[in-house]
Amino acid sequence: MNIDKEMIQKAVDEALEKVLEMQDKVDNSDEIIDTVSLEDTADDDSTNKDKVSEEIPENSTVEKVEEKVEEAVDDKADYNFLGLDIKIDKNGEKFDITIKKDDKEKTESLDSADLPAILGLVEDFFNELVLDEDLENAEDEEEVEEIDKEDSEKENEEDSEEEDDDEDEDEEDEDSDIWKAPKVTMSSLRRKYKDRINQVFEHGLLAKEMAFDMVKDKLVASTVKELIDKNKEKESVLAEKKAQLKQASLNYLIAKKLDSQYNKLFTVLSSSIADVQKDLTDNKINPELANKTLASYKIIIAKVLAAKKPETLIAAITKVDEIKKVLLAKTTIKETKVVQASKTVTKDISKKEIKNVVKPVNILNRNGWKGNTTILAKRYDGIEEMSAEILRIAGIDEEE
Amino acid sequence: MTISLNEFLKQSLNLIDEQDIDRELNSTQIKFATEMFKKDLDINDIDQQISSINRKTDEIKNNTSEVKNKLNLIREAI
Repeated sequence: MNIDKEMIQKAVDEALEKVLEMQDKVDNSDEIIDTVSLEDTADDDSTNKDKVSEEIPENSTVEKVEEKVEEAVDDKADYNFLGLDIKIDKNGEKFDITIKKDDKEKTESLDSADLPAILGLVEDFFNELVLDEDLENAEDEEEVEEIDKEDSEKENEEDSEEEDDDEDEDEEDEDSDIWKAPKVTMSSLRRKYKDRINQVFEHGLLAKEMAFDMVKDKLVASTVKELIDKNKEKESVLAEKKAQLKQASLNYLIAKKLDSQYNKLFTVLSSSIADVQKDLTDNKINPELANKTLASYKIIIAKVLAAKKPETLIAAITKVDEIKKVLLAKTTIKETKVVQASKTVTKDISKKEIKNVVKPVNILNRNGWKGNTTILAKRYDGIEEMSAEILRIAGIDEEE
Repeated sequence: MTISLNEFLKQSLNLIDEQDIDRELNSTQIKFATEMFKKDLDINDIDQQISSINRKTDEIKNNTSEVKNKLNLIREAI
């Protein structure tokens, strides 16, 4: 028996009609109407009018529907839900729920026949159905394995040495059977551990992670190996680049040093050549020495132009300096000789000549004191005596 | 219901799926990719340094060439 939809629809229609009548009264009246009293009067009217309305309690529409369902359920009822035959029998204050599909049947006794409880039973029933199918499949596989084992045992009987191995295999099979045998319905487990489901789930995850950590290295070995190889390639490239940077830095330093030394050499050579030219012009050195010096500079420049190391340039600068010093030394010796020669010539000059040279000329009386016609003539009359006295003090004898 | 430790591990291993492996591979790859990215950055940085140093070296060499030309002129002149 199914729930009588027509009956429920009729109850809902009556309730709706009642509401519409009340609304009509409110709309058509000019006075203010108390809707509560109106509902009461409407209920009274409806009680008198229709017998069907007597069966409907004076509650809300939802409550009326629930009551109708309860009334329907109170009686002996059979339902069909998701391909399951569901039978509800009222047994005193309890309800016996029987769910049946094909050959499988399950009966449970519930305190109330509410929908969540019935749906829970339906879920359990489906879980058991799935587990039964799995068990059947497992049993089929075991049968096949047993047949194989029997064959292999027959073969193994011929070879007595392998008997121990067979015993081990049997033990392993027994172990796996121990694990496979205790199949427990998930629904019952869920009910049993409903207050610790999260903890059990977390524990299972931890167990999985622990097992995964143990085999992780092997699982990712090939991939990690590829990554390590790539990483090594990068490292070799990086090392190569670092070597290039080092070489570039070295080249920079050498180039800078060379440039500095070239500039220094250029300065030294320029000044040296200029000195040679000057000395030659001033006759401090003879042309032969100048040519010889310039030839040395030419050789040095030729060597320097082909130089690739700063040391060569430093040596060239030192060489130029040495040449310069030698040249300076020769120039100094020549100048000394000239000075000495001039001193010898000076000694030969007579004291008289020196006296003539040293004796100052008085412009006032250079033509004789008697010829001085200026007013200062009288004041400088004794200038001859003064000059003689000075010569005497200087050690120059006028008479000599 | 008691099982051996080996059985427990065996059952735990059965829980490992492809997603677990993918996740682990990704984390490993990310780790190595990060290292390689750092190395790429280092290589790029060194390349820039090398090119900068080489540019400066070329400038210095050009100056040196000018000085060499002057010295060569002096050599020819004397």
